[in-house]
Amino acid sequence: MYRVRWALSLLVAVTAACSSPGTAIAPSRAPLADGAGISVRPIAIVAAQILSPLELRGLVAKPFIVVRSESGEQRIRQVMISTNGSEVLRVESALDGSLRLIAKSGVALEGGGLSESAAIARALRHLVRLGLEMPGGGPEVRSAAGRTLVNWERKVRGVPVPGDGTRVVLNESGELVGVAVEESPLAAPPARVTRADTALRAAAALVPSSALVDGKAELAWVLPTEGAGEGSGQRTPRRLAWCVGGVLRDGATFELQLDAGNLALLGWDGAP
Amino acid sequence: MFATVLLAAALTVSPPNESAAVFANRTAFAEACTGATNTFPDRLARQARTALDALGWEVGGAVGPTFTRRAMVSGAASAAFYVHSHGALYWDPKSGSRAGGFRADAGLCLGAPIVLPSEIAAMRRGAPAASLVYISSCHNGERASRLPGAFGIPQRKVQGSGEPDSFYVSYAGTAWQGAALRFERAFWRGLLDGATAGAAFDRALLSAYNPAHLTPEWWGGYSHLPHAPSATLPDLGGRRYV
Repeated sequence: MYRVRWALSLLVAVTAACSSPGTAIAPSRAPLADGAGISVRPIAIVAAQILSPLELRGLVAKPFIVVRSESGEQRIRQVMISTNGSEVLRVESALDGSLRLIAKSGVALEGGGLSESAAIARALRHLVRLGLEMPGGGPEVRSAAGRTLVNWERKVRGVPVPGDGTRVVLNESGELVGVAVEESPLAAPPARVTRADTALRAAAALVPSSALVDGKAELAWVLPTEGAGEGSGQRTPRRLAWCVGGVLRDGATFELQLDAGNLALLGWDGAP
Repeated sequence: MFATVLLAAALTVSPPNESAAVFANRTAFAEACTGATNTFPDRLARQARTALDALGWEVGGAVGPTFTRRAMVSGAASAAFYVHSHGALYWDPKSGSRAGGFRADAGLCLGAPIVLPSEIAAMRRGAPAASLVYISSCHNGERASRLPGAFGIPQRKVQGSGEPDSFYVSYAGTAWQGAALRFERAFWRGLLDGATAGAAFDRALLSAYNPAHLTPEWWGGYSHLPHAPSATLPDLGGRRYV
């Protein structure tokens, strides 16, 4: 069944590419930029997998560009535009060819609403159709602004890497809005991880005496100086940290991030 | 008589509102108040200011202690508006209900003045709906917040025919600054890439923010392009806006 779908998708892609103006990318598996040794999945293939034949009509692929993602990763970006010039589809791949981002524009807002199990099933179906790796573990489902987010948070050595992992965004009918796969580099963990109660005491000493520190510390891979500096450099590795939450006198919540090895303050986050 | 004619002529030819205002509360998150250095307010405001400037707006506003209630109320008449501060469903004595709002900076760790939707509505009376409003705070993305209405933006999502030329973004529940920084960066980048406000929002949902730390919400027109009316559109390599 999957092979049949794949063949059909390919046929649709060929049709779409042939009926488009000359800049359309032919749906081949040939390297995108031979001289540069870059080999990524052409956007026409992805388009054929997630757009209907009607939606594919007249789409044109722009020449690819190399960009840097928010996390500093170098990526190949391919964009498809409609005849009226608006961007319909964006695909980003890592330099090794693995898909990192698929973003559709203008996906309908209306829909009947998805149950959590239906959202997970639809997200998995989209991942399979796109030939993406199945993330491990159970996902978390959240709603935001009429979209459903199905998140498989990345965990390394059982410790979460917040923001990393696989995210599938759907509309309320289960139609795909986008997929993002994020994998930040990680620093080597400290040789010896400090005890949680020691981290709690260190956190309590850092905050004003009027603040209340939560009774527990949790490990996470965090970006150093995210809240206290001008932002980390490109591809700065995340570090293993004890995260300690609390509440300030005015009721605002905060989180201190302390190096799991030496308890140095790595970062701060607050909730206004 | 002559003066009246001149005034009428001036009103007729006056340019559309091209002003944007960016405000951020720095003091409440500063080391003196929280015990840790926090650069989020400055970075969030800088991102907003840079993007709005690139979209053609004349950007004013204030970051830090000069972000007073008075400065804010005068900036609320702008067509594009951004604020990062503490937000909650504050009690509005005028309406006798919880109505949303946010705190000014005013150089205070605690008890900074609260700006209520009714005050913004009064300031904007007679003005057309704002083009873009970004309330980077907790709770003002909830239905109970009357801030969208104060800026003339109905709390509904419209895509297709009859879209308003407005877009409002904020967060429901508790919004963490680290997640907001990433989400907002992606949203502004989307707009600068030529995406519509709705598409930029969708793209930001795919950015690497921690979804457990942020629940973004929007109302307005999905296809709205929130650039200044007289702005020269960026060169999009042959693409044109729709």
